[in-house]
Amino acid sequence: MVGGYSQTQNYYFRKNSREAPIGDLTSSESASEDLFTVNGKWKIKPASWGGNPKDALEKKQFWQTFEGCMTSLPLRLAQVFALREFEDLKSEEICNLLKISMTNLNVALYRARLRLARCLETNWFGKEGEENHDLL
Amino acid sequence: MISCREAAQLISESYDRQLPLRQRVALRLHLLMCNICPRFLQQMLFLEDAAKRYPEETEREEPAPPFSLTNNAKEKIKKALAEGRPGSGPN
Repeated sequence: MVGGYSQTQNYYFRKNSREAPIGDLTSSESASEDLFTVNGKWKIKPASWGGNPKDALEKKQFWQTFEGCMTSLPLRLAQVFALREFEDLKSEEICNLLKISMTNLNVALYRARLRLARCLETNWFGKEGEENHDLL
Repeated sequence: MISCREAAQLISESYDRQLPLRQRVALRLHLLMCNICPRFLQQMLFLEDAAKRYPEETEREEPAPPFSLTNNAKEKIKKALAEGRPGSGPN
């Protein structure tokens, strides 16, 4: 009856969901912080993704890259990003579901987005950029 | 003036909630003065577009992606909503 749904639920709420997930979100693992100096300046500056980054959305390979980047995220970050962006849940709903504070959710979403952007830059736009350079 | 780190966090949060005026102004000022953070903003715009399309783009693939509801589940939810189960919402 609700097989498909509960399967997805299993993904989102896979083990430990009742144990404080907060540690996962704000633990010493801090890829986002690594991108900034102590003064809060970009250590690794985001690159320009070219004039028409949206062209990528029409390419099948891009979606494989995107999926790969999603998979490379720590589970908790992938979960909050998926709930917010793919399922379009409101922040309050996600906080209630995962029993986390708004602050923790915001930090987790921020980290997920930073990581995804970094991953796409390295694995998609970076490569494209090199190709474009070769042409010039 | 807020730092790039703070600006980046506010850019992310602006997709989840309406920022208070004070933070909106601080972010706008930062974006005017900084030549890096506007790139991050562009990246976030792109990421939002991509994320919106992700479920439909990957639906066609086999097997179903682990990051979204299956079509089947979505239909069931839509149906349940349409039937207006008691307590499921204002309608």
